[in-house]
Amino acid sequence: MQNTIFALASGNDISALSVIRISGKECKKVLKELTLKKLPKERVLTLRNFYFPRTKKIIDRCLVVWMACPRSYTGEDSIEIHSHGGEAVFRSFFQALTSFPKLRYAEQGEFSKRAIINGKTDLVQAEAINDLINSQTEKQRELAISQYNKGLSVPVKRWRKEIINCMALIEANIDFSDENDTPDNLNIKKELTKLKIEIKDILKNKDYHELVNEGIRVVFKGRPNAGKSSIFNSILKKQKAIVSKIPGTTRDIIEGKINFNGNAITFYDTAGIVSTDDYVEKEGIRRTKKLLKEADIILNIAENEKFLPSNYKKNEWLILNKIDINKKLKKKLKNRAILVSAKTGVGLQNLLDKISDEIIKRTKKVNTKKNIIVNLRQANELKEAEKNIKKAIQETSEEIIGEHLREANRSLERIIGNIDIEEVLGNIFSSFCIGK
Amino acid sequence: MIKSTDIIIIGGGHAGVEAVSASARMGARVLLITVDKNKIGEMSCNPAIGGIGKGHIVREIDALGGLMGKCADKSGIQFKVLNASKGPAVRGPRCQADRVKYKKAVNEELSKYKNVKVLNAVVEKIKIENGICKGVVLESGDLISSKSVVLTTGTFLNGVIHIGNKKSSAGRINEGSSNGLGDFLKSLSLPMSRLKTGTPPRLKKNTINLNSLEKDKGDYRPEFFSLDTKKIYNKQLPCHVAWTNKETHQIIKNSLKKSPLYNGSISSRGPRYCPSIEDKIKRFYDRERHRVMLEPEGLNSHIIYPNGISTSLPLDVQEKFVRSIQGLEKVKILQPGYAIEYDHIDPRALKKTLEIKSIKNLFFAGQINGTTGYEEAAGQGLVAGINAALKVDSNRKEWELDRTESYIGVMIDDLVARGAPEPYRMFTSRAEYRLYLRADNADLRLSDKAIKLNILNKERKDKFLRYKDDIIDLKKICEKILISPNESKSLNINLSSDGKKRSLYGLMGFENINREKLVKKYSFFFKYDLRAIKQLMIQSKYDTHVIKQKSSIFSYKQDKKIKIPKNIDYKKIGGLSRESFEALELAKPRDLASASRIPGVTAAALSSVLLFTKKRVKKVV
Repeated sequence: MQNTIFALASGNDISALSVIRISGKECKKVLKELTLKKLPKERVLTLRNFYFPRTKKIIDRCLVVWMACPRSYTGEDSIEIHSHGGEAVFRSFFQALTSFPKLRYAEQGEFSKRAIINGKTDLVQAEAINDLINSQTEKQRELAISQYNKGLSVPVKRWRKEIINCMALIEANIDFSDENDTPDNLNIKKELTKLKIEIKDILKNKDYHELVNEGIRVVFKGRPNAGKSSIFNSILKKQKAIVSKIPGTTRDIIEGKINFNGNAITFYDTAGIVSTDDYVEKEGIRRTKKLLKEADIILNIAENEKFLPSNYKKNEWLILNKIDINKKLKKKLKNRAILVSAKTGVGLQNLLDKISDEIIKRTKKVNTKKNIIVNLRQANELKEAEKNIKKAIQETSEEIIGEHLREANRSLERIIGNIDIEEVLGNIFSSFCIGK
Repeated sequence: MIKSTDIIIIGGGHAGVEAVSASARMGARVLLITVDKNKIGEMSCNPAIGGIGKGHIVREIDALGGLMGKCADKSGIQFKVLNASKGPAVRGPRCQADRVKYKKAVNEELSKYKNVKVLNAVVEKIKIENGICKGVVLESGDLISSKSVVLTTGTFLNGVIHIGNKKSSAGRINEGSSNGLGDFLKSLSLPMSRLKTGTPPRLKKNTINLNSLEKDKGDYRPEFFSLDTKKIYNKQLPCHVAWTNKETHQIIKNSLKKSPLYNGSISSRGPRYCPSIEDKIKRFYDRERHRVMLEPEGLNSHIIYPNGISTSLPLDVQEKFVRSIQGLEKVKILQPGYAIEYDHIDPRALKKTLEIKSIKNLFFAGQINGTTGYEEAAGQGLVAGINAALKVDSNRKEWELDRTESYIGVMIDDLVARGAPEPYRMFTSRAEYRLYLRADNADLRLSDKAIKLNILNKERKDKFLRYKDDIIDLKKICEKILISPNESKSLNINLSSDGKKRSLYGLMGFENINREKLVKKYSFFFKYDLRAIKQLMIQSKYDTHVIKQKSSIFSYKQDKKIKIPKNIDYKKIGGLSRESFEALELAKPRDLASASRIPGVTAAALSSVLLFTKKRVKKVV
């Protein structure tokens, strides 16, 4: 069946609201699973909570309109989600939507194309859309060249070349196996593994991708009774976050995600590190240590100034809790630590603002560092490519390896342009002596 | 003398023969006109049928009731499935064929059709009135009228044979044809292009020391092309393997300037996959040796076809280099190798039915369309023959094969969309739906279409329908049986013990499943044909991939539904890049899917064409 497509229908700029448009057969299922409720009344704006389909964590609370086939722009079952603005929200929706196997991000002009195919637009509209599609393509091309692709097209072209080489080897072995000049020993796995790692590296552009996708990671640290859990709860309660436990240990790590100014922040409350012989506790400590290593920000919490450490890591912020009890401390320690009170809530807003500033700072840093930045669509294609390369490495049947490489190629092709079987054949004929 | 008929087929090669058979099975009165009756069904190049990609085409022809598979089976003197160690999707049946027996089999098949007549004559021109083909005029001046004409004249257009510096016109000296038809075609100013191909010298068998050479035998258990074939017809023969050596290469290197390929006499493009030995040595100078497969031309033939050394060097050089090969020291050349240059029509001028766009009821099939190979020619002949016959009743719709369902469809789609910059040969890599387009399921893909056209005989039809039902039945049963990882061990399958139950159908695709144990454990298998069981195992193996491909087939078909009008004026479409414009103007695609396959046509150009098309359609309505 034809894929269901979705896209951000509104602009990329920062705005109060964004519209996400989804079109195709899967719409009903998607809407039910994202809202955990039955379909809203047709063509009526309805308020709904949206959740990640697997974790059931909340994404956003916003208006949605459901349009059944054929009474929609494309003539197919359609949904428009009027979500809150900001990249973080959309990225969450993106993540949630791509987790449905039959959903994919729309190609340029694809909604209009469907509308035309389904006879939904008339002559005048069609002309208007024609201009629109063309201008979009132009804009996209400009954008692609000037902004995104400057960095990305270089490695993608190289990867594509390497995939074509691998394909040539595989295809030569399939189509010309009776010609005795083709290699018996296919040594493409090494190349592919290298390729996979490279693609993964770009995808792992943690500073940007995970920061915005998964949210900045803030881990609590401190002595027992320093008030970690009270601060944690106080922040999350106020922000109506979903709290979950990371299972598997008796001394669980508790995770909570909030949406603050359009940025995702994930807090982790740890139980603190104490020396122990207990196997289970050791496991808990191991996890905490790992988490501290991966943290973007560590909040080192003390309830008393004498417990404030003098040596700490760069990303470690000192927090002095319970300032409602010891008001005198306030002035004295202002420059050394962030002063909060979990009980009264004083200082928490300030803390969140500071975290928010840090996110902006980091995102900007990546932008100006000329790191390769991929937009969502490209990231998605790269992920597909990487997935298929991985499968090709694991596979033993040559014709199926060929299939995965073709798929991987198609993804890269959607980023930078067409590849043709003639290229693969050309490669075969120039490297192998084939023919009778 | 015949004054009129339904269909005229010109040329009795592989395209012509298959066209005759198809038209005849469609019920039309068919007249085959050839310059030499004795050459009907002649294998003019290598004595083999099938191979990877090509074998797929032969199976498709058989699934549509055609001749090539049956005739190959009847004349096969060595059967071998290529890529047998690889997955079923890329396995290609092939056989060495006895030339004489093949020709005989073809003529026997043709003689079975009561509605086919053969005429030994030379066609002077095609009768065309107001852009509609009405029949042919013979050299004698006689007019034979018909509803449609299929032209399958191979390489005869301006054919020039090169042996060293000697040049001669091809297709005339021995075959008595005139240039009349060629001149006439030129006068139609169809888009033409020039290609080149080559052939090796033919060797005398008893002058070769075959005993000193390695034998290359066929499969122990032959796999036939046709589902009609039940037994092996001939004694099986081996091929022999010889190798060129440094001395051979030196001889050729020293004589390169005598080769028309390198002294400027030939400039047209030859196939990259079928290089001459001169080419191989020049381009792949680092190889120490090249293989020469010595193929027997028949059970009682004294001729050996040395596959791998096609050449156009002068005869004395041919003799010298051939004799430098171990085992061929005293070999006698019966017929020198040569290169042939010829004109072909640019297939972008054709519709997918192989009717030429500019003249109604005139079809082209085979090498004249820029392809190479018997199988490629035969596949086109079949499509042209069916469509030519559909013209008899003006109410019947055109018949096309799609690239999503057949290799023949891939070939024709490639040809009409992209032309033939080199002689077009089939490779499996050309088929994007390769895992579905298999030699083993050609009947499942195509026989229903043949039944609709009523071109499959009754016995074959019944057999096919039973087989199809068997598969559906068996699949249903096997999908319902659930097996735990533990149980699956008894079938030789090792799964991680995740406790998850999988269907028997799902497990059937595992490579190392033990078929004996399987059939023993589930006795219902005994009720079914082994072929159905095997087919289900293959389907299971590729299931996930084929499902995925089907979704892309769906969107391709959506695009195919959007027709582009014949007389579209691309100049009127705004926003087309020059490259897109030129590519579209040349190929004049008939639907959006074909347009999207033309190199140089961008997505933006496609949306413009789409919108323009829709606009026009609305206006007309």
